[in-house]
Amino acid sequence: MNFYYFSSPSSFYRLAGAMAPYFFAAAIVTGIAGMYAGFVVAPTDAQQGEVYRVIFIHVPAAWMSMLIYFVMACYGGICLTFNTRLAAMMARALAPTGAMFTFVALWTGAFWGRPTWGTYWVWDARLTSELVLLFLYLGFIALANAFEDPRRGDRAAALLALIGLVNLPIIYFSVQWWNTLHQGSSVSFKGTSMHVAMLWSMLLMAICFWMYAIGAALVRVRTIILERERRTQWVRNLT
Amino acid sequence: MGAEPHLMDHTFYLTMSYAATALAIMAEVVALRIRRARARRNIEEERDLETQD
Repeated sequence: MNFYYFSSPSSFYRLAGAMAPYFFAAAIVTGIAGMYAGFVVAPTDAQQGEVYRVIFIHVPAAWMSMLIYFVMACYGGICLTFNTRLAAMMARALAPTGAMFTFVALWTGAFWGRPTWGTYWVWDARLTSELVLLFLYLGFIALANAFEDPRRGDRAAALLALIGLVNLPIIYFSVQWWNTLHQGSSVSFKGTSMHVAMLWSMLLMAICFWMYAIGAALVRVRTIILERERRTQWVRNLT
Repeated sequence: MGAEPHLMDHTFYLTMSYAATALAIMAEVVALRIRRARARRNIEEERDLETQD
């Protein structure tokens, strides 16, 4: 199988169209399972009561905000190194979904923080670096669309994405490097202190968000391909 | 008896979190559909213009 075949926008357009519905279907199934496990199976937390159930969307959204940024920066790096059109389009396609998940992480964190910490917001290292991530996403989107020539926009935004990568370890290690109000990780590769039902609810929601993000990025990249390749014959033959 | 007001307080925070997440996802899906429809319309308009020429 020749993978270079799918680096062509016309080939990838068809592949993305075929794959996207499966990712959305997987997102719906895992989302329903995650919500059921989170609200029906998982027990009430002894200290936080019911409000801890916010973590079933807060933690996966925060994970996705960082993962999507990392993948976006990788595509940016590929775009700058190999000057490939599709990589730049994929980076552009991921940015709005990443920004949405960053917003969800910040918003849900605020509504978890109010009853547990007593405040919606604090200029804590974890919260502030996550807010910086949201600004990086918005900056990426603005910069990518600031040029008349989209290829110049691609390169400028890719450079910003690569520079912004430095923020990811700051977000992740902020709770270890500084004395923060935000607690440390409850889940790591070494294990977890969470109840198994809580853990599974969170993991199912993480898979749900992951599937949704891939599906949304595939649908968006198809639109970007249509916008950019609209004068080519293969696009005209589509409609 | 004491647990009920506690639960009511948390219902507000849970609702605000889950409702905002659902709204954000729905807004993104609607934006995706609008952008795709506009892209397809632009292609058809350009093709119609060329056919007229």
